[in-house]
Amino acid sequence: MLLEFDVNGIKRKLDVDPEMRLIDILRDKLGLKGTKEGCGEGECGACTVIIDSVAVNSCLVLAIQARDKQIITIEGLEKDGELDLLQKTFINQGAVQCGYCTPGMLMSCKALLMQNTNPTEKEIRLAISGNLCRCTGYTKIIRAVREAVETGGMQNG
Amino acid sequence: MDKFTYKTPVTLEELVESLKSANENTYILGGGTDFVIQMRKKRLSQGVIIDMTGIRGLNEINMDEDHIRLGANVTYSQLYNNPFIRAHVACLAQMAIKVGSKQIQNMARLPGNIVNASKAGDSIPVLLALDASAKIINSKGETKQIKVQDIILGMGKTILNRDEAIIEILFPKPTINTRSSFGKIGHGARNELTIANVSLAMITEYNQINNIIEKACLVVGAVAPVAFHAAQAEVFLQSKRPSRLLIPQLADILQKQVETVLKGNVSSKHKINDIRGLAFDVFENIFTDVI
Amino acid sequence: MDQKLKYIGKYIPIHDAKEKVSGKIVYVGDMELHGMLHAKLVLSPIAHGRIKHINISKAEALPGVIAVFNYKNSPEILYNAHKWIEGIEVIRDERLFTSHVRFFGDRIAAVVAESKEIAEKAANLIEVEYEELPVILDPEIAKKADSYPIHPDGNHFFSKEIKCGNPDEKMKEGFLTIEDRIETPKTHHAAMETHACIADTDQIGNITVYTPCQVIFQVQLIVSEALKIPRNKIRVIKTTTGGSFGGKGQPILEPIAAFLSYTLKRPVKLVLDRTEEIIATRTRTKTIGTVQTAVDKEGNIIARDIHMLVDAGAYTTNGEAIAVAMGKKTFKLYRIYDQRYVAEAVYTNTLIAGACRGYGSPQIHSVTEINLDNVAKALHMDPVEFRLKNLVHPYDKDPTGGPELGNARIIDCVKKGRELFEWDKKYSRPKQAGRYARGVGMACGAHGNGYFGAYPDFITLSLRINEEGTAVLKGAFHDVGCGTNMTMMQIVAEVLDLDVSKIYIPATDTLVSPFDSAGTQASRVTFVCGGAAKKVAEQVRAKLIAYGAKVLDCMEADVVLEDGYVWDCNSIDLKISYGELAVITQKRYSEEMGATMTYQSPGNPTSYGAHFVEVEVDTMTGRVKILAYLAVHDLGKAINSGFVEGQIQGAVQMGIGMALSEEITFDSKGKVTAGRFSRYHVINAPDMPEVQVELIERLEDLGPFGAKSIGEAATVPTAPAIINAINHALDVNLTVLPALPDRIMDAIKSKTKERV
Ligand SMILES: Cc1cc2nc3c(=O)[nH]c(=O)nc-3n(C[C@H](O)[C@H](O)[C@H](O)COP(=O)(O)OP(=O)(O)OC[C@H]3O[C@@H](n4cnc5c(N)ncnc54)[C@H](O)[C@@H]3O)c2cc1C
Ligand code: FES
Ligand code: FES
Repeated sequence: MLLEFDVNGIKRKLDVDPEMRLIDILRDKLGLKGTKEGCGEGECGACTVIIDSVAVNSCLVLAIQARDKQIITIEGLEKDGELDLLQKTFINQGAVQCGYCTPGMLMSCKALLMQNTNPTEKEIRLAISGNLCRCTGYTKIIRAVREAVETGGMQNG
Repeated sequence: MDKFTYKTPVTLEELVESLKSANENTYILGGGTDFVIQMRKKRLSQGVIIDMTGIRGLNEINMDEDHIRLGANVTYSQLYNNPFIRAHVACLAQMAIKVGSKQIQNMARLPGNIVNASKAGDSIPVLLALDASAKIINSKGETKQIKVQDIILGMGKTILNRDEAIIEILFPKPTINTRSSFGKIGHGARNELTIANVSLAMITEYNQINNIIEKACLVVGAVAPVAFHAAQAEVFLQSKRPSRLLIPQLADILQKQVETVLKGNVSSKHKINDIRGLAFDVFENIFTDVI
Repeated sequence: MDQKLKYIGKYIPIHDAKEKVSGKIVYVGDMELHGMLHAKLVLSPIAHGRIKHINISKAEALPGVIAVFNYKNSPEILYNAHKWIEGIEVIRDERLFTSHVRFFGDRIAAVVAESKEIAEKAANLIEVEYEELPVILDPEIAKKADSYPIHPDGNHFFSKEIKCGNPDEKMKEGFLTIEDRIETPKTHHAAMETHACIADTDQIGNITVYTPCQVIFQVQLIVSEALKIPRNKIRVIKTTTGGSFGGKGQPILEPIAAFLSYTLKRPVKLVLDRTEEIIATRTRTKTIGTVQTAVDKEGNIIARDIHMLVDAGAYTTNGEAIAVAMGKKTFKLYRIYDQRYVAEAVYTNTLIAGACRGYGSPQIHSVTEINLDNVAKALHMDPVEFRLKNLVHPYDKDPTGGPELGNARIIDCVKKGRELFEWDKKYSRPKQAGRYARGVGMACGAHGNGYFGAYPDFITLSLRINEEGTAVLKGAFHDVGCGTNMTMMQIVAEVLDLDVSKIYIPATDTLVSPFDSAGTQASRVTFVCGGAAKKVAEQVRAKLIAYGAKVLDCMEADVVLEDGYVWDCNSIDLKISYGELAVITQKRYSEEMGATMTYQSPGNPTSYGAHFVEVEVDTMTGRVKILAYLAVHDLGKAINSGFVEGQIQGAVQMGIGMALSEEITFDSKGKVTAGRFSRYHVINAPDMPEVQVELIERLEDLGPFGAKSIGEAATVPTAPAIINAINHALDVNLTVLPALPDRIMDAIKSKTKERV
């Protein structure tokens, strides 16, 4: 089956197996291994990517559903060798330990900030309710999002 | 090896065309949040998948004289983010933000929840309380409007034929007196991203001028195979003045009804506690300003 | 002293943070080797039985399938994956694939195919017929002599007593004796990366195993034992680890992948899905504890008697070790001079237990700390006051003769916590009527620092300053995500006065890394491996000074080392870099600027912590909300303050799960009913409180820069603190963890009944 879509700003045309999920295509066909599979049932969020500006579990999306869509994966956050602000604040705040939840967590947080430039703490927590992290207890992740909001706001202002 | 083939209708005409060859190996795909899991669990790999999500115009929330109309592709996120729904159909918005996680809300849709017909489907009590209907189209291009209540036959069972698809959900417009709320208590200890252990949708017609509940509609989810109206509670609230004193009585009535339905099933015994909690949550939520 | 420290104590991001946030870091599941095959396990769908017949022909016939292995065509050698070093006695009862399945999830077969999809399909085509055997799920039934034996020698496989003083006599003298029986659950580690492994074999039969493990030399040993292949033919390379928490401590997939690859002479990848991860790896040991504590009128503990029933699940693994480890902790927290600890370990037809963050400490402390609150209640004493009367003091001795406690600062933790948490005010606050009941609780915990006093505890390290002036530290470090590498780098940076960015730790690899006796286990890494890093760095520092003096032609006492440069304090114009000095030293003196040494752990002090929590319980539905959380820890010194805070916050998340939501459940036939994240609830962000962290940094004499362990210690007091808070809020006595809503409701209802 032929699939046309845009991944991280690059137009792709691929022949894919129709049973494949988006996560399989990203990892196995495109070699974008930053997207992780932690459960395969929508519960852990390790597979989160952004499709047309919203966060989605790529383990629950069939190949066909990605057609003509714009997809951003963790590999697409960095621009011209420069980390995205959120990636930097994750490092600054110590929001990364084992790193396995990190790509999905970052994509959920990025999607949140794309829609809401000034989320409350509760909104941040809800935005990542579908992203499990076993290492950090979430506190530093929430702080990282706050720092991005604050510095991001300063940069704009 | 045979593989799946896809149909990707863009218009309703194309959808009808796609439905023509439908058989037991035809699957309709909405957001896929139930389907993909089932497909993998049952190891489905053959047949035709009709992807609804590309059909133009079905992702809109519209209103006409008497109805609110939700296209089949409206996601839970859209429902929650819609200011009108939030303000006037609170139960629907409150339900939407309680479904799964953000990622799920961004993909999942109402028709999938109806057709999946899980006992714990969150939208079902709300849609029953709203007296919602689904507009169904078949392979001949005929459409019919059927009450959601009549679509679901039991757990995982609906009246839909293989060559039928839901294209719209519609329900009567709220009046200025309509107030509503939805509450859900999940399995286990977590508050978010849980499957309902018990849910409750409540819609009232409340006349603020004479401070009277003119009509109440309460639907309990996740207790019986299909969500049901708590008829005694509805009668009880009718013509009452909202007050905190009503709540324990309401909770007793709901509890009795849930107990009757559970028929002493011990493994579900704490649904009885949860329904009491929900009675308080939902009632207080609706009438905070007047009680 | 602190002002002078340049690197110690600072937060410096984990060494691979940038690769992690950019998605570039490679976990083993992301690796592709040329010609790689994919394996899929077939797991038992019943909890106990013998295979009568297994039909693999359909699976073998599927195009793309390379081979199918089961008990008929795989080694029969028994091993125990818990064994990490030669010389320890273990019960060997595990084999690669079994014909006698002992739990839902036992390994029956593996399919190897060209792709993971084909392997999965083929695995589903294997047909097995079983003779079903009686299923034992309850450890108390397993303990009975006549219970149906899961292993040939019966189900009760271990008992142990540890004692000090004369508990029987003293018990009778108590003004008051309080007994409790407390159950702790079997839980899942829930590292976000599931178990995964790749093994590759070359033409002459050398195997390389890539694995996110905790002990490379243990993997080598177990693969060698299970396959009867000499160790020097097995190379183990640790890969970036997506969390472990003890779950990846025992080699589970490694011997299998190695066997498959060795037999087929091709690289084989084996990755578990979440359900397999939950059922077919390891779990936190379930325990049933009974404890009796006797006190005098003033609230001094005069004797205690503890009995722990350890449910090891279907195989032994560390069932003996954990039973002993739990006991040792009970003599290190309070001044109890007459105490008995008895443990018994049994098999059940349930998931295999293993190491899990805290190694029994969270379980034993749940039992004892919940009991102590009940004692305080019976005495009408504030639980903080009661504990302060009885807690150990710095440099107390272990009454059983175990390793000394060291600079034990638990009293400071409790006092600090009491003040910051405003305990006195919150504890004595009158109870509000209404639906939501508030309460506060606290608990203390103790945990060790390595194996000293029990098992060999040493590590060999090699540190060299190379010609560019950067330093390479070779050692078998296993960073599982908690920042081990950066911790070591900070220690070396501090000693050498060299920027951390100039210190490099190569991959952990049995071919490259010098030997280490125990890996990332037993909370030994910061204390023992960190101590070693400090020592080896000091040796290199001494060399820099010695050769610096020669080269600069000055007194050693006049040599200054700063930021990678050496000079004579009397002539600051001539500064040479460490790299230049290394080159000159090599050229002139045929000596390298490096050192290799073996470091023996000098002791095993105890790390302490006290947690304080405020909860609000919905008395209608039994749901608990955590309103405030404070964790105070005595860890000697934080090498990296950010990591320490992160460890504690993560540990609390795990402890909350144990207290409130996490439990692997079974149906009556032993089938796991919580084999997915939708049924096994790990605490997510909306329910996670902000954990306030407070450190008592009173240096431990034996630790590097005064440091002691924290990662495991931090999860020890969490569950009992929460249960105590709920008990306080509701005036009930919860005895089964986790305190799920229905258990809380039952407790509320039975209390109301009592009153009537
Ligand atoms: C992690 C997770 C959490 C979840 N949490 C919740 C929750 O809290 N509450 C809850 O209620 N559900 C929950 N769900 C279930 C699921 O998200 C909902 O049932 C959702 O509404 C399904 O919608 P969908 O569009 O994804 O349906 P799909 O998966 O696309 O379809 C589901 C079924 O409906 C059929 N179907 C879909 N659209 C149509 C149509 N237009 N006409 C006819 N048939 C159709 C499909 O053929 C399929 O049989 C959760 C699922 C996951 C994975
Ligand atoms: S892998 Fe998709 S949500 Fe866990
Ligand atoms: S950092 Fe390890 S799971 Fe989040």
